[in-house]
Amino acid sequence: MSEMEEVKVGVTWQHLVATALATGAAALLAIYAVIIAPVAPFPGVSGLYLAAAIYVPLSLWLGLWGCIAGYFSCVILGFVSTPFGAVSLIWSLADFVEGLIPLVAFRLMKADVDIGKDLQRKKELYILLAVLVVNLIIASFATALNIPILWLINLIIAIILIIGMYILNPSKSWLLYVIFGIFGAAIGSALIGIAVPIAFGFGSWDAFWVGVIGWFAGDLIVLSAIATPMMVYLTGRIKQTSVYVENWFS
Amino acid sequence: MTRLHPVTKLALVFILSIISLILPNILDVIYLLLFDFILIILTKVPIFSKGFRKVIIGFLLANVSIFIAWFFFSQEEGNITFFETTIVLIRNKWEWHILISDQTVYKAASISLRAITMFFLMLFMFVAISDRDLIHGLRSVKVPFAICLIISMTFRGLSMFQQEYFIIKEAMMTRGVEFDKTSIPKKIKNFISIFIALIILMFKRTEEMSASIEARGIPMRSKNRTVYHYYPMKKKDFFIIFLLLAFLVYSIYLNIVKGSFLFSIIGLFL
Amino acid sequence: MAPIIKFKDFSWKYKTSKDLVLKSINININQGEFVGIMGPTGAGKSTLCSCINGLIPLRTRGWIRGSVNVFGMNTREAKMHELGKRIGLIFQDPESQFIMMTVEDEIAIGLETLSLNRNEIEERIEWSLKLVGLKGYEEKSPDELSGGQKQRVAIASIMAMRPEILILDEPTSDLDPQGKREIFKLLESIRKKFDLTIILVSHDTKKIMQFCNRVIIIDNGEIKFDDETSQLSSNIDLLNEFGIYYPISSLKYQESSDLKLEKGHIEQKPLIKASNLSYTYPNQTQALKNVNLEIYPNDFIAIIGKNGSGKTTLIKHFNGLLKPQQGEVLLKEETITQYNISQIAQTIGYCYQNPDHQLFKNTIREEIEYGLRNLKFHEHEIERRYNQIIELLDLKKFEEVYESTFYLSKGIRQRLALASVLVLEPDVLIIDEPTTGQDFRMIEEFMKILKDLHERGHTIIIVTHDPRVIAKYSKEIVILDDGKLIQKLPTSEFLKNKELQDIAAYISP
Repeated sequence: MSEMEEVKVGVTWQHLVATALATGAAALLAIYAVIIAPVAPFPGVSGLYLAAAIYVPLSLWLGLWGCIAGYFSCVILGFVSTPFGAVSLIWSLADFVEGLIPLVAFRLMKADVDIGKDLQRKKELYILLAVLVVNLIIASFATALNIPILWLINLIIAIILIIGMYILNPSKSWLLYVIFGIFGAAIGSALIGIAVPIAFGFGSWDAFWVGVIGWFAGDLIVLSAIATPMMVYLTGRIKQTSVYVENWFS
Repeated sequence: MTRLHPVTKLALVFILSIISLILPNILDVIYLLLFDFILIILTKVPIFSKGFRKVIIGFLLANVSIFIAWFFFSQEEGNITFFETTIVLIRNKWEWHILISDQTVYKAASISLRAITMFFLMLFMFVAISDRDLIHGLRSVKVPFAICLIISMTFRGLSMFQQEYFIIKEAMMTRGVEFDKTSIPKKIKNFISIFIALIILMFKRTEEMSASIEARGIPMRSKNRTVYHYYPMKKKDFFIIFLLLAFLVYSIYLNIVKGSFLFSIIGLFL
Repeated sequence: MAPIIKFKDFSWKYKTSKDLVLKSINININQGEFVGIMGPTGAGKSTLCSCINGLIPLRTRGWIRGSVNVFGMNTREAKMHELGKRIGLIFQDPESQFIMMTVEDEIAIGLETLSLNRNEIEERIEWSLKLVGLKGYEEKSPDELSGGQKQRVAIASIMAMRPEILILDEPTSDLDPQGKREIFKLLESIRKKFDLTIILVSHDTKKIMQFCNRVIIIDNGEIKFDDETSQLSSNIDLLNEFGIYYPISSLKYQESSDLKLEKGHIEQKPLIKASNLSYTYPNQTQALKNVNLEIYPNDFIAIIGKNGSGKTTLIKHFNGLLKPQQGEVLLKEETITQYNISQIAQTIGYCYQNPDHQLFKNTIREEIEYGLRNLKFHEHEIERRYNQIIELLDLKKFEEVYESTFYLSKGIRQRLALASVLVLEPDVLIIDEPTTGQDFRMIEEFMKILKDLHERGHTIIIVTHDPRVIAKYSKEIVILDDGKLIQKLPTSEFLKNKELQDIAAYISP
């Protein structure tokens, strides 16, 4: 390839079209997810917010365009399927942040988003991931109930599990994904997603932690059970397309 | 109503939505809701049609969850306590205590009314502003072309993927997948399969549609781009927007002083 | 006269491809030429087109060597919108080219960038719609248009910009024969009127030979032939070498076919029977009007007709995706509504036109096993059927090479889609437009598989516009027009009946 010259391209219509179509697709999936699992411990929030599974992959595939698509798709969902109305414009920051946290982690650490590449000991990894999810849910209860000892135990277990995962599959990408793509994304979006409706009066601050635990647990489950296999299976294919964003915007 | 500029209608919806959230007096919200119904009647929104009935019922059910959130997860003490009990008490440190007082009911009803007000404003928006008018309206007020095209393509994407969703769902049925008579975990599993197929299609369509735009030589930014469908804002549009902004400012003031819009208007005349 | 398009030792590799996609291309195209580009799928035809209008390299990441000059401008240094104003490119899929919500807006959006005033834009919209025969369609949305109409809108939107070069990348592969004929007639008249330079990528040898004065054959990224059309038509060996079919008459196809309807369905009970079947869609379109049809075991039927004649609506009744509103459909003498989804799936297999609509899994194995697992088959039965199918459809080598189904070519994905349906061992296979966008070689391979399946006892129903498939493979033809069943007759009789061919929009290959 020494005679050939590399062609690089900046932001093009492809990125804007991807944002538009991703918004449309994510909004549609979000609306159908609310119909399929309409459990609502909190107004308008589906107990199993399936569409959350797409926000992290979209941001890792499309950079900040994916975060923007996640935001606007949530705005559409907010208007169509929840009582939040105009509050959706602020509430949807929860989904923007959900994509932003892992994106920032991957870009700053210059890690490959293809977590499925050379993935080793897949079955054992998924088992450890499931245990970690349960552990984190218990940790969230410990936080809400103010039981520091339980919280500390969970923290130690979480660290051991993460080290265990790294030993099974020594991959920076996988580690970053678990810490920021699952845990970080879930906690970030849960805090904003519950605080905003309460701040506007859709619930009481007494319900804050209950809401956060519910949202956090739901997102953890969805991100680990749905987003993770999607990332593993699809990222390699998406990287082959010209739409894939290597940096922040292009 | 239809002769108003699309941007004016949009401003009406968003500014009134914000106002419905910040007006402190619930009576003012009720009057705003009545104004909503006038808008609905003027624009002939078919609220009794099958489709709209479903949407309205769905929304009202979602609204019930506001009451659930307040009744089961708040501790608002008031003058009258309707119901009080402790459901769970853990280690004398944490308890799930239910307290339903007049304040709880008031706050839940208050936010619920505001949500209903915003909802009917949304309904008005969906009927009174077609997606095409919205795009042309935004372009006429110099919203950047790229943003307008993104909005247009989002609408296009919604309709396109809805069709694709049903085709994929049908294709799964031909492979023996039951969608109706099945458990929620199975529904979720099926949903994921559709999810994956839609994502792949989305990326394909992105490549194709963006190539189509580029192939027509459409730049993202252009100083001399003509706006073919030009809807100029008229005096009445500016007047209405001015009124809305004035109302918004006044609502902010009322929120600070905890006053009432209605009573202040009555006070002006008395 | 200097050529207006000049490729000089041009090579291109996409960022994500392993090898060069175009290798040392040298082509000169002059003003006014009508050039046909042919070659097998994956040869580099579309890439070549994208190099002319600047999509490559201005908007595509990759590696480049050599140069492409258009109107004297090196495409690497030109501005995309400057090239776009003078070069029009029309793609294969009419759905993906429609970016706006109405026909009028679709045409206007390109014209707005030309800084024309509103009156001029209005005039050009009217002119271009008249040119493509769609005057009065200004307010229609893409959902209301057929594939052919969408493609004509695409042509109108490009022609409104008055390009000097027009590139069409397989513009008719999604259209019925009538639609194809209309597009080519239009192209011919446009070329004569405006002295355009036209570059046409197509698998349709007949059309290429009829309209183009020059043909370029590309294979594996290299130019294999570049000469006048007359030189190609006398070189059958070359056509065969690149898997390009040479048009012969329908009757000759029939003669080469051994699928002849030798005897009628004496004493046989129909497998599928539609009686007085009518169906109207929610938008009030009556898609089927009192259709009566019987399909017998081991039939090989082609259902043909113009776009919108009711073909897809009819076959969706056979596999229970649509319920009859009037009349009934019997499957093995029982009303189809008595069957549940899993029973129908094991009796009627349905392959979609676009395989991407029915591939949901990551690996070939998972995809083939998907239906069996939904129907809760035992593991040993799943394994047995899987091994049988993968052998039958020659998919084993792809399973070993490709980790994921997403990396397979369209032809192999289509075969995989067939495998995933066939593994359920249905009595009937319904295939919707199996040849769209495929080159001749791939079509022949796929049809051979269907022919083998037919010989094994499967009933095959194909919805197709492809005259080669109709003439060579089908035993019987069912003609639909405007929701009505016109006739069901042996293929050999159909091929002699010009009147019925016109109704069915059939054009001899």
